[in-house]
Amino acid sequence: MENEKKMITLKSSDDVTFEVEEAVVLESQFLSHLVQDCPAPEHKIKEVTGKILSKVVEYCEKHVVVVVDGGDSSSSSGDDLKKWDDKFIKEMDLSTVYDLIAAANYLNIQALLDLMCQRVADVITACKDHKEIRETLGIVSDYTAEEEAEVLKENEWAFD
Amino acid sequence: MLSCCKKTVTRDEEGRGDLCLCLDIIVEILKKLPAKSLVRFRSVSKQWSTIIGSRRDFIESIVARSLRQPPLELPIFIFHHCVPEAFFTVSPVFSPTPTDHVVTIPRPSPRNSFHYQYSRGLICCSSSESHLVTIYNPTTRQLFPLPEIQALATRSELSSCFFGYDPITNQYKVLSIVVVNDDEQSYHVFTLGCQQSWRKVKGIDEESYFPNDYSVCIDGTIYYHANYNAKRGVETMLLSFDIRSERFDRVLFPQGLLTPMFNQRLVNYLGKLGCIICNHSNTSIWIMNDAKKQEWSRTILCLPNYPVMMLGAGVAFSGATPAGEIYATQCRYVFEKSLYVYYYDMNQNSFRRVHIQGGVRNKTKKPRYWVQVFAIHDHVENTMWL
Repeated sequence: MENEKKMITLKSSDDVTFEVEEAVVLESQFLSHLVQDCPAPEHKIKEVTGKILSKVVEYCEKHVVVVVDGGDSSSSSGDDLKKWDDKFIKEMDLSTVYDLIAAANYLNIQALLDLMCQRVADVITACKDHKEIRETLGIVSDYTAEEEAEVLKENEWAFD
Repeated sequence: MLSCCKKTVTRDEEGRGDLCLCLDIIVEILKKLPAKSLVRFRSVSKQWSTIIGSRRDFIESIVARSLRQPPLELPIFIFHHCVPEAFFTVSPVFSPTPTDHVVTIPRPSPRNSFHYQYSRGLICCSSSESHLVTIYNPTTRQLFPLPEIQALATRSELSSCFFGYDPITNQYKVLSIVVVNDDEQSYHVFTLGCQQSWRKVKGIDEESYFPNDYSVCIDGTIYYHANYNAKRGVETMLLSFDIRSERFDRVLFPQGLLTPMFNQRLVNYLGKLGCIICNHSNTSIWIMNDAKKQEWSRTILCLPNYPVMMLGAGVAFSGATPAGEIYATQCRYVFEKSLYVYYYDMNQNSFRRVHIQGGVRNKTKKPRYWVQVFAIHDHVENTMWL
């Protein structure tokens, strides 16, 4: 007997719709609860734009655990997924990364949140010094000149 | 989901976003960075510095990450030098003339009485003759001298210092026992990160005990042994100090286990209290199998021709690795031969030695002084800023 796959429609804040399998939605804890509690065919996600929701859907579709015939669970193999993740974040600008962090956090998709945080961590690691980190991440330093000189002196060795 | 994750993004003309992520997200991002980078990034902002150096859950996650790493094949060592001034280095390799990172002990004792205790990322350096205690964090390379104990009447007293960590309260404490005179002792506690002064605490009872230098901390309890004057002469007893409640207790032990005569060392043997005893005829390890019932068992180490002869003078059993091997290190190394750590596996009854890189026989260099070696087998990274 062929299993009819249940489809669910997600609508972004700017009314872009995505029709996805239920399994894809289950990657998000927030959406899992939503579809269980409220079995409507369409769900509006006011906090996420179409641009970002398309990325979220793309990610979840790739990572979804596929139930194949016989009931065995399998997903894409670890190495393939890793490669796919690398490619997924490679071309992404920081602004999109931040939006995806907020979306992954809101929708409660831990693996996506981890991936995006790792991306920002990599950006931080690539910075040559604390000034570049501030500039890249838009952080305003709250150190006075004296305090900054002191903390730099304390950690001078770690700059080797 | 992380709470209250509102972000504000303002975009400049090039579309680059200025990020203002919530604190929890910044914490998650920082958790993914290597410890050395974190130390460097304390200079980004006060907020980052606070997360990295003070936020408990953050520090916990760095320690936990470190614990998940496969154990190091080789330990790291504390090499204590005493000439030209008291200093130490923390490194997996030895250098007779260290150049890289030398930690000068801020207020050295006039004599070479330094002692090092390691607990979950931090090193406590103390001297029985100067009452001065210094905490060193090898991850951040911060040296934190504790204040002097104000209550001391004179400078001539001896003191013993014990260091440990309590996993339940997540606190490090230093216990200092000052021997005021033959009949009087005072007990002082310093909690790291909470206060800036020593507190006087209640001792075990009215008796006078003279603690030995070596202690071990297991699961929030510091164990140490002390001598006291009994009617029959000097006897030794085993005491415990619960870091959380700051209560002292006597620990029952089999007769003859501890005597003032022999070299005995308390160790953490696979999470249990162990005591390695070397006497004239053999070396054995006693293990307290049940901390509540205080039941002990004894294993005599099968060391053909007791290895002190084999190892040479100045080598003594000093601890147990997390895998349960007992190891011996060089108490006094004077460059006249190669430098080793010796391991004994009780289950396999096997003995091996590991050469410490850089510690090579140097016949041309006349020994002017000795170096003391302390091995750390359970080192974890800890970004705590004191």
